[in-house]
Amino acid sequence: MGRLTAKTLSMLLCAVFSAAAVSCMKDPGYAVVSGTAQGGLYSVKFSLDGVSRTVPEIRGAVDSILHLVDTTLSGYNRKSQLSRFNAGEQVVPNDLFRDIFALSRNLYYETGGAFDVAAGPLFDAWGFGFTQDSLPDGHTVDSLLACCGMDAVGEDMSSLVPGQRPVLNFNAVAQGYTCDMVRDYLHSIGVRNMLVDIGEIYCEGVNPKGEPWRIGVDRPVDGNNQPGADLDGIWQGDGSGCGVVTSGNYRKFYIKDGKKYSHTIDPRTGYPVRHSLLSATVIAPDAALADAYATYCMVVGLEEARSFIELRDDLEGYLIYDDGGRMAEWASAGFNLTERQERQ
Amino acid sequence: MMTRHFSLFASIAAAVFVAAACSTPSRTERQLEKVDALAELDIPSEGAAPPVKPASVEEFFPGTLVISYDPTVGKSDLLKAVKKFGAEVVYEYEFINAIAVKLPEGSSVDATISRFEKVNGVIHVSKDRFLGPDGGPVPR
Repeated sequence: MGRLTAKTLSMLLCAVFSAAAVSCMKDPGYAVVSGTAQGGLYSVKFSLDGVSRTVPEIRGAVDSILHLVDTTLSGYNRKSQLSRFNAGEQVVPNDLFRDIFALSRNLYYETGGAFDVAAGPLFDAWGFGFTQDSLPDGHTVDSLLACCGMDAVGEDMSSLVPGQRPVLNFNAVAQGYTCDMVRDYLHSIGVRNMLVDIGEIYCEGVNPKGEPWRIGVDRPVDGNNQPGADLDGIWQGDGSGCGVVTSGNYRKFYIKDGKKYSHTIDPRTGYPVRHSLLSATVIAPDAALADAYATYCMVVGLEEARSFIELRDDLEGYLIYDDGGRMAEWASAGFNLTERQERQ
Repeated sequence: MMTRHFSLFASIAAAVFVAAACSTPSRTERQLEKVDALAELDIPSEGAAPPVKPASVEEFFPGTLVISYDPTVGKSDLLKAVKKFGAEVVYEYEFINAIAVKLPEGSSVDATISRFEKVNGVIHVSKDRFLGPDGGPVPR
């Protein structure tokens, strides 16, 4: 699914269903605040039970969080701290920048380099979607591996490679991280039932029907561009707070000069991954972790992803993979898939 | 006679069919009714840019800046600079270390950004972007 296309379609679809940014849901005890952020729509649904703040106040607070993220981490806002940092300007990183960098650095070491926010130049060399006229040769990949990546960046964000400056990209964790920031704010004002959807999802408590939130998992097939049009299944939590994030790959690989390439680049090798995993849905205590681990799973493939999820008590996962031309699935013991749709 | 009855029947049948088609939810709508949110696939497509380009053309509140400051330095120098420049503090953010200021009429926004960026403790100065509901502009 094309992210941009999907987001555009998502906007159109949601614009039809959502007439106002701040509106009351059927249950008077719940409210929803929505708008645009980080290139797509965001939606925050929450119960007002025991909350003294008004909905406009809460909307203002959520907007201020999103504004902070935009001016700090956006790669598309050329004045953001991240953009100026990547351009080589002297930037005094704010708390948010420092915190997400520290988190990403920990994740880099935890995943043995499979999750790497400093590998952007390597991804750029391949060209996203392989749109470049020529793919990078072995020498180019080797030289990029030597000078980019988190192991070339110091704890203070300085470059450990003389003559090089770090280039960071937090796309694989920023949306989840933003969900967690909104969650923390809602906790601070006493909200306990919430669904925070900013591209990635954090949910906690119950929906207006009094049931744990239900999240649809999209099917990883070519042409599934309309969100919700082709669900693979529906996950339902138990009410405890968690992030829910799906990362995916196409069933179809790109073929260039007779070779097959997937979308995902392994920052450890510098080359596209070659495995059968089509999508990974990860449930974690935080949306930032779910976001990062879903990306990690797509890098390491089915077997490693399965082992990783099974070994972690705090994670649940749902993996869809290509099994000899047909889709197959694996779910961890605690992944509550309430409804699975028929596959064609 | 038979032909007229048939035409009438056909018309009613067509109207019922159209009405039913209009009121029947699509497969997508039925699926969406079952869930509170979607965990959408985070996949780049061939030729598409990586995630999250701005969804719409950027719009800004005219003459308003959002200025972030280092909390360890504080905002006193910033507030002095704002007052000296003749700008007005319109909002002090509660959850981030930033203020929104309205510039005096006729002042250049870009020049003012550079001016405030030099103030002690200021981390970042940006135009006040619209965060509109569902892609549209917010009420002004």
